[in-house]
Amino acid sequence: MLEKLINHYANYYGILAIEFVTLIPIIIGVFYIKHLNRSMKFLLVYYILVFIRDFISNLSAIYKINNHYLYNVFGFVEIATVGLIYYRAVYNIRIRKWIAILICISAFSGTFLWSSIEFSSGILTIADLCSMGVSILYFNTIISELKIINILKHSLFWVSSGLIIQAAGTFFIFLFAKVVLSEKVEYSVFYFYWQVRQIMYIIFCLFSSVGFWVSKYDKENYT
Amino acid sequence: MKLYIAVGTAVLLVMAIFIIVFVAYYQQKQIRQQLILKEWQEKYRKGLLAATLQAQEHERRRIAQDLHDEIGTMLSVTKLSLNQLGRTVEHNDPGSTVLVQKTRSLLDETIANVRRISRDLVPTTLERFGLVSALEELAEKASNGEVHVELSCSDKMPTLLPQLDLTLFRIAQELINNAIKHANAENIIIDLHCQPNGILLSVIDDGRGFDLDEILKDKKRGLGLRNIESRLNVIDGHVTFDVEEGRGSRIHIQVKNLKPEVEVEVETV
Repeated sequence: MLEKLINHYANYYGILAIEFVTLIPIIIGVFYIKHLNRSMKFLLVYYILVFIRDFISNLSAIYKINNHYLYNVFGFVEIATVGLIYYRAVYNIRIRKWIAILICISAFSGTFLWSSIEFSSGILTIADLCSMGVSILYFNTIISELKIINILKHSLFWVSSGLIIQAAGTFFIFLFAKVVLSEKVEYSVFYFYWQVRQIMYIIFCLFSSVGFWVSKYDKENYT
Repeated sequence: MKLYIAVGTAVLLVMAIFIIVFVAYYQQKQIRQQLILKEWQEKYRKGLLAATLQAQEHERRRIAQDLHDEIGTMLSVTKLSLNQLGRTVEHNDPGSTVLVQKTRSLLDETIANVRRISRDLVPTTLERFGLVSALEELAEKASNGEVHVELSCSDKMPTLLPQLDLTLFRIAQELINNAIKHANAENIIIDLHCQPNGILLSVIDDGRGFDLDEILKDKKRGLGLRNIESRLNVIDGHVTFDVEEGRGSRIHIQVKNLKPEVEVEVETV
């Protein structure tokens, strides 16, 4: 199995690169774990789950087992993680209520769009919409509350920035997943849009890594 | 279709980047303004507090002056008149002599009390001879058969600004008063030391101590402690309460020996 896995990574070195990129926020997060607030700890758990998902996905690919369902499941994981991160980070009850409503609606509507054999365009699009909505709500809270002294040293600003870029970059790709990510489309088209999705994910990882790194300033960064 | 997806993605990405840059820029601009406003409010509050303390000192001085110059003089004149009356009565009505003597002793006591109150209101020793002498006098006055107050200080104390002198003296006065009145302390040590970055004043007693949180929670109590904090706020000093019920208390005051922004005028009676 190990030999097959090594061969798989050697043939698709892009996959190995993605797994390596996932390790960056995990390593930085573990290194600064003492400084992480509960929201950032949820994000760390999310990255660990992503790493496990990618590993299982690669194993499934080696044994020619359909692994699309893993990404659909992760749509829900993403919705739940975003919900937990921002619900803990916001103290305004009204905003909290909005986040909870958004998460519940997203998760509930996602269940009707479940698919285990192909990318569920609906679930992934909803997850992106949810991420964008919650990030914008958080940005609105930052601006209206004015509690953060230096926004560039605020961990969740970097996480939200990464999240909104990733969601904006993959929104149309997932919305039209049947056109660009289905098994019926040409490999070059699939490869191009999958690469775009991977680049957006790398950006999210890098922004999150900065978020983990600046989390040491979080406690003193409030007025 | 694929082109539309690419264009749509690009547009969304540009919008996302715009939102991020806008949030970062706008938030920083707003927070900078808020911090400037807070700084001004803090300065204004300090100024107001300094003015209040200054007015308090002026009022003490005026009362002390009135007591000394008017009531004290009137009492002295009354004593002179009583002496004259005493001499007259001694010849004509020897029976009233005792009453005159009693009135004279009461008058003497009143004159002494007026002088004491007048001196307590304005620390003249502080203004004439400095903080160490004033604290020595304070320790001496506070000591009696039941209470022993001791002053320990560095050999070389720098000359402090009058405002600092007055603040430290008033705080020491308040803490000693608290230790005697509320904590029933028997031994009190006033420790005054010069540090490289300022002055450290500690008042240590062996009284019954107190629960700081409980006192600060109650708005009707702890006025003296709040007053200490207010005084220190004006000169950017800080207080550390090392207190516990039944253990005695150690209160440390630390102030910077720098020229403060707001100065309190000090006049001599």
